[in-house]
Amino acid sequence: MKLISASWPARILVVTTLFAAACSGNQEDRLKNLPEDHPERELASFEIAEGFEINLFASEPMVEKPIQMNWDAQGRLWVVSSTAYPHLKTGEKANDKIYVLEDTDGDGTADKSTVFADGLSVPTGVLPGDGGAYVANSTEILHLMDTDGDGKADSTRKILDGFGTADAHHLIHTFRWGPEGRMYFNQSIYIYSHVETPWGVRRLEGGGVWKLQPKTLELDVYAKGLINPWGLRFDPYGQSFLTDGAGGEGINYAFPGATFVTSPGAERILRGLNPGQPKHCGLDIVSGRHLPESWIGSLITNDFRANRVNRFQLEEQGSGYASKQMPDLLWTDQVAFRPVDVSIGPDGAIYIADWYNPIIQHGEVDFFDPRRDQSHGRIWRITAKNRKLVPKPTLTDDSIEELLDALKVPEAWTRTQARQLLKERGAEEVAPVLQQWISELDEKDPDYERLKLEALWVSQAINTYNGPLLESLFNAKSHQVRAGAVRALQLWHEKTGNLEAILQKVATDPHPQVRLEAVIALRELNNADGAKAALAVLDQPMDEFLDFALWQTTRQLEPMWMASLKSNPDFFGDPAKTAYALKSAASPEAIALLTQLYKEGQVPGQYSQDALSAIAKRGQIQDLNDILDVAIAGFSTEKRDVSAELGAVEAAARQRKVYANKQPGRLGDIIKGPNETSAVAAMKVAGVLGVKSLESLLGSMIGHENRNYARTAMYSLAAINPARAQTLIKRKTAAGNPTDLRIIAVSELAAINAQEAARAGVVLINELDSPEQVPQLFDAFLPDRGRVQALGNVLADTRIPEAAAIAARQHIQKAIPWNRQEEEEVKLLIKGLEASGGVLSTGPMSQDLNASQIKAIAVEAEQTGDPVKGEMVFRRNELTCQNCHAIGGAGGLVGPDLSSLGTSSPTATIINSLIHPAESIKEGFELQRISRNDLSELLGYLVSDRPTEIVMRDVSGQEVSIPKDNIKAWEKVPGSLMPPGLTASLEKQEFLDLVSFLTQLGESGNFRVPSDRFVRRWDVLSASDELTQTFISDGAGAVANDLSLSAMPDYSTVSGVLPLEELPVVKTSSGAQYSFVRFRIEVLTSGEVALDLNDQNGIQAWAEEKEVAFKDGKLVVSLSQGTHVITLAIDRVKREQAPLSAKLIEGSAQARLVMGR
Amino acid sequence: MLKQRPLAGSFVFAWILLLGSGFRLCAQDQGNDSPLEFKDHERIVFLGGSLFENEMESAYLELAIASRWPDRELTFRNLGWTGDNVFGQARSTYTSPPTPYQQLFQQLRSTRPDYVFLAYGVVEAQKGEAGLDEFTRGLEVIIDSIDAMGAQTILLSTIPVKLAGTPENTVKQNKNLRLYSDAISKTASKRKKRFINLFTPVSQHKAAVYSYNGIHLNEEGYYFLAQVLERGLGWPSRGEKVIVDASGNGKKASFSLEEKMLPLPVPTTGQAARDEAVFVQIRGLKSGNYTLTENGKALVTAPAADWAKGIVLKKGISQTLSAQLSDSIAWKNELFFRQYRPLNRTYILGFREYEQGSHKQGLQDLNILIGRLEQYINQHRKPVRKTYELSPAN
Repeated sequence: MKLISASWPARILVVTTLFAAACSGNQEDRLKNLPEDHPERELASFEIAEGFEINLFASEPMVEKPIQMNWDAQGRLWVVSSTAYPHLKTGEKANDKIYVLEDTDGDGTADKSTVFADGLSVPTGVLPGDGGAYVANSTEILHLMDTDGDGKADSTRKILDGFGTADAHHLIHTFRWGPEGRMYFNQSIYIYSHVETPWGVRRLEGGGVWKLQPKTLELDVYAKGLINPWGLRFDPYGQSFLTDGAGGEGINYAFPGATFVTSPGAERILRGLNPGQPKHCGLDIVSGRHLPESWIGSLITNDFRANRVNRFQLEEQGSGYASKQMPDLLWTDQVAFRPVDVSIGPDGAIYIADWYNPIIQHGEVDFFDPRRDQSHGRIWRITAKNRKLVPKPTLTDDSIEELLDALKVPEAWTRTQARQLLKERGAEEVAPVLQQWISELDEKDPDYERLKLEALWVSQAINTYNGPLLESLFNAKSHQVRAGAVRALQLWHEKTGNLEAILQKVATDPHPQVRLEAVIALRELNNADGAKAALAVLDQPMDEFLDFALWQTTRQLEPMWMASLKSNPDFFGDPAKTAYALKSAASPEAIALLTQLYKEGQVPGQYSQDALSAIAKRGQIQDLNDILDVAIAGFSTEKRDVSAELGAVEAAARQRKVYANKQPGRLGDIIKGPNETSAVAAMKVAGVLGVKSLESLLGSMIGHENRNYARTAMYSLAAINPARAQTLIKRKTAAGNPTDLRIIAVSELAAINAQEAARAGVVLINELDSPEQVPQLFDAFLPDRGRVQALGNVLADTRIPEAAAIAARQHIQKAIPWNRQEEEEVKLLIKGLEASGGVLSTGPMSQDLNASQIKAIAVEAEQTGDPVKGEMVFRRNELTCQNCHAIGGAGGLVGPDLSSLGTSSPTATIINSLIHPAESIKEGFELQRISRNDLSELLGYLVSDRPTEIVMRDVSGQEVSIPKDNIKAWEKVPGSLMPPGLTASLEKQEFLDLVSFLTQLGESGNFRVPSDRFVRRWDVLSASDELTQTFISDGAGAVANDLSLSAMPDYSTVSGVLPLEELPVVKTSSGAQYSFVRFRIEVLTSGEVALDLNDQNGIQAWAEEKEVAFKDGKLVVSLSQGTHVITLAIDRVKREQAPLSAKLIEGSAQARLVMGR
Repeated sequence: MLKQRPLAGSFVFAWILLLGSGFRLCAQDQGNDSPLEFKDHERIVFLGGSLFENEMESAYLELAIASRWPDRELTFRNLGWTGDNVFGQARSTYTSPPTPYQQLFQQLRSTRPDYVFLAYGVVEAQKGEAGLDEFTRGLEVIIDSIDAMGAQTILLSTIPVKLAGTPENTVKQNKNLRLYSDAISKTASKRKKRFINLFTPVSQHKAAVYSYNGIHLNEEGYYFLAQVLERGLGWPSRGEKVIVDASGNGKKASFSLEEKMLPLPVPTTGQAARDEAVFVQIRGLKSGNYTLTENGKALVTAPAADWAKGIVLKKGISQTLSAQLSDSIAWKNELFFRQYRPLNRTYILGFREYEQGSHKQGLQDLNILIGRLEQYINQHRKPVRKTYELSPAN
């Protein structure tokens, strides 16, 4: 590469020849001689989708460490870069830069690089416009200008400041122009911003998207949440999409007020469109004439961990979208390829900013680790083979008419630049020409309405109100244009005269996308009628996005409509709407009204669960008495299941200490009644309310042959009269009772009298049928230090069978988080078990490794580890990996999804995480400790932080909600729920195999989660007597229909198959051998669901009780909205070993596979 | 007072009249305390919102205090945080505890102040009348805590805005800002604290003192604010007047000066305030153009009539020293900013400190750099003696 340096101080580099040598010599030999980090070697490593090719557009020293890029109207690429990232050295003066790259001769490679600005401090966003460029510079947004034309900024204007800096990889970033001339940008989870604007202080804590009018400095929060919202783009109709560099839900559909995961204080959140997807950064939407027609509208984003460029296809679905992953555009095994931004250029090609760094971890690897790359960086250019490039538009000297005509072209690039130039020309010049241009548009042009929407955006960018244009678009034939117009109305709500009438009308629009925008716009009315108009959308089909927006509008307008509703209970004119509003409300008075509505039977069925849960969370005693009345009446007169109402009464008492007290003795009839769910719920209520009069009844049930009754009776009795309960329960622990009842009795006794329970428990251990029963017995003791102590004391003096001691010891290792393992009580317990022979078998794999030993093991794993065997180690039950970690979204959610672990973490880091789990924690997996008012503690992960409660995920993966007024202290604690020493039982080679597997995760081949929607999360039916019985007497269909049969979760391998040899087999005397597995499908819109099995041989399938036939080799079934259970019976005589895979494919229904643990 | 010594040489030199200015920028409507005097080794802390955070860069207020007693070592810590209020709301981080409110007091305590300049109320004023009581209560808690540390509180008023979005909102905001300014003044009287009214002088000032956003001050704004502060503390202006009678010779004059303290640096875009710089009046010159040199270097050339009216020296050695001092203070402020609001705080001090907590050492080490800079700053606050000569321009 020949570089000619010229013209200081602008530091212009002119590259005359790129890869001139590529034309000559033996390519392979020559590559080998190049340094490993040479761009040509990286280029040679790329694999690209059929029909595309890739070339280097620019590399170091023309550009270094690119973070974000945007084009200017002249077709120059502005790239923001930081070599100071991730952290300034002590006292270091940052000197980060903005590069401007130009391809002056149009050959597809940059030949000129200008340093527009330097001396910046970890800048993370750049956006040309308004005569210069906007730059994110740590706490501030600057507007830099070159006033003397030397290519270098010489004027700096601070636009805003007060943006947080608590994390250099979350600073404000990804600057983009919105269609209406506002500037949008993101910040991420650890950034807490407090910005003083002329319009008041604006605060955003955590992730989200800001919206700024740079001229007037009006700043608003557009959307909230996500862990590291990175990609941000608008489609041709102004709809916006986000990707998350640390989340796992692919494409996110954003609109004003949209709130996503991790937003502090959010009571409700929206989900992404592709749950279980890898993490993404950057985003662009394909448009224009260069790329293939079939790609138009595709979303291109980067899986930077796995060194890939992904593609997604959207399909409208209700008011939102369904997103489907398509085959990748680009991938490589070169781990330093880190595509961080993507932008389609003026020639229609796709440009990828490659940060080029083997290390991407921000926190887990030392800031100054020498493996971090500080000097490289590339911009790649992807073109479609044999397709003409778009002629580079020349817009800067265009007349207003020409710029307006540029809005007609299919390339989003050109339209965006034209809009920006029109904005800069200003209203005086543009407005009159614009009016003329609109009037001359051809009504027959299929793009006519979209062009009017473009004209509307130009009007908004130049701040020139055009009411007739706006209103004409509400009647557009295209729903996308109508939706775009309603969004535009939100910006102009103060200027629109008949706002209320318009909004009422658009809220009844036939298309849900328009209704969604209407519901949002109605917030601007700020009155009760706004809420009423918004609730009109309930007359038409709802979906998750619309429901979210409606809930948010209802909440925002609550004080206004509550006032109206109180004076006129029929204000909404429809009990269903009233119920919806009330169940969405936050105030206690709303709950009182909701309870009355519920009592009168006016709450429609689809809202009743939400209504009950709102009453449980916010209702007063009177409300809960009313619900109790409903339950009693429902049971006695309608003979129906009243467990839902009773559940609400119980939850209010248990979580908020709000106790219903109206004749609770009435619960007796329900307890004695025929309905098990109602009876058990009634027992629980009796217990939590302390109903003395039911004491005897409960006492009589503690030996019930239905153990569910028995356990609940013991538990509730203990709540009412602990002394009596103790006497009665203790009797059930004694020999002579059935073992399963004795175990339950010991467990329940533990809560009342730990010493007694410990003594009884240890006696019982000696008499257990199998060591498998040990964990159940121990579980009652482990959560509480006092109980652990009691059990430890007894075991110190008493020997138990060795097998039981080993089972107990293993269980403790898994069930007690690492930071409790050092507690005195736990140590005592372990000592007691060890005395009985309960010693953990430790393989030769030492867990006590220092940094250099870890390094050596890493090398060994890379050389001798077998990832195929490693995957089998990973899947072993005793290692419990899958209890906490998902792959491809399937598996436990307690720890991070590991899908692309190998491509994001160096081997040594992975080993370190296995040995010392507490030393590196991913965002979102910070351990939290909640101390409740009653001094009980809960350790787990935060799922959501809502205004009145928080939801935690505990060690077992269960979600627990805790009302905030019940919280005494809440802190984040360092460390991990992953216990150290999980791999201690492995042989060394097994450990190396496991490490090898983990380092391969995300790499091409069998250890990369495919983009196909494979069933990954299964329920495997245990080969129990009950199953065998059902199968023999009633056949496989009966098995499918009996959801109470016991099952264990299982997960597909990374490549998507379920190894059959792992499954339990039911054998009949006639020689039949079957395995049964189930999985769940969530259907969002009813229709046909199709599943493609790798092999249909020996498979029978059911959707609930309905048998599903194979059609053309596929399982096709028509399903209604909701979650459905699919059961497969596998004839193991026909299929002994071959793996099974099932893939969700196109059907008329919109469906998702249920993932998780 | 300027020190002057007649120079040996051929110049006929009659007399120099030196006048310290008795100038008052504006009448202070509050607290006619005796002039505040800082003692050697005292620590002065600025606590508040954007008024102080934005001051870090130009460092006018700090320089005004630091240069007033060139022989006394004073140190400063600027805890201004944009968007902050008396409840420390802007000091929020992902890690909690400490809560933002706890952070506020931890940060304040860690600076071990002797004096705290307190400037809150601008953010709170957006709530208008309704938020006034809450604000006053919060302010008093901070004052209590400063009292408990044995330090002195000096309360600053709010400043008005130039344009808060719309003209209507501007009027409303300024009404509220005045309301809060009055409340701060009342609290000062009640708690017997010094109070400096910034609101009135800033609202009366005619020059362009606002930055691009219309609510924060620009460099000229801080230049002006420093003067308001000095008056508010009862300090005389820095302006010095030199009157030379050259009538004996009529063509030449010379004198030497050593100011008592460095001047405030004149803003790049603005004019020197007459009462803040050296003002030279030379009478009795014969007509013609005359050049004044400073240590042999030409400084100003002007006709005799202008010299007779008087000329403000807005350049020269003192200004250079002062600008250098300002740069040093600003760099020291940036280093301190990096220490108490570090980039990547989450990983170094926050709940992920188990990952990058080793870099706490780097934050500690900043004390060494800050200490060295403070030493340098303390050594470079003194004006130097300069020799001036006036002679006909060529």
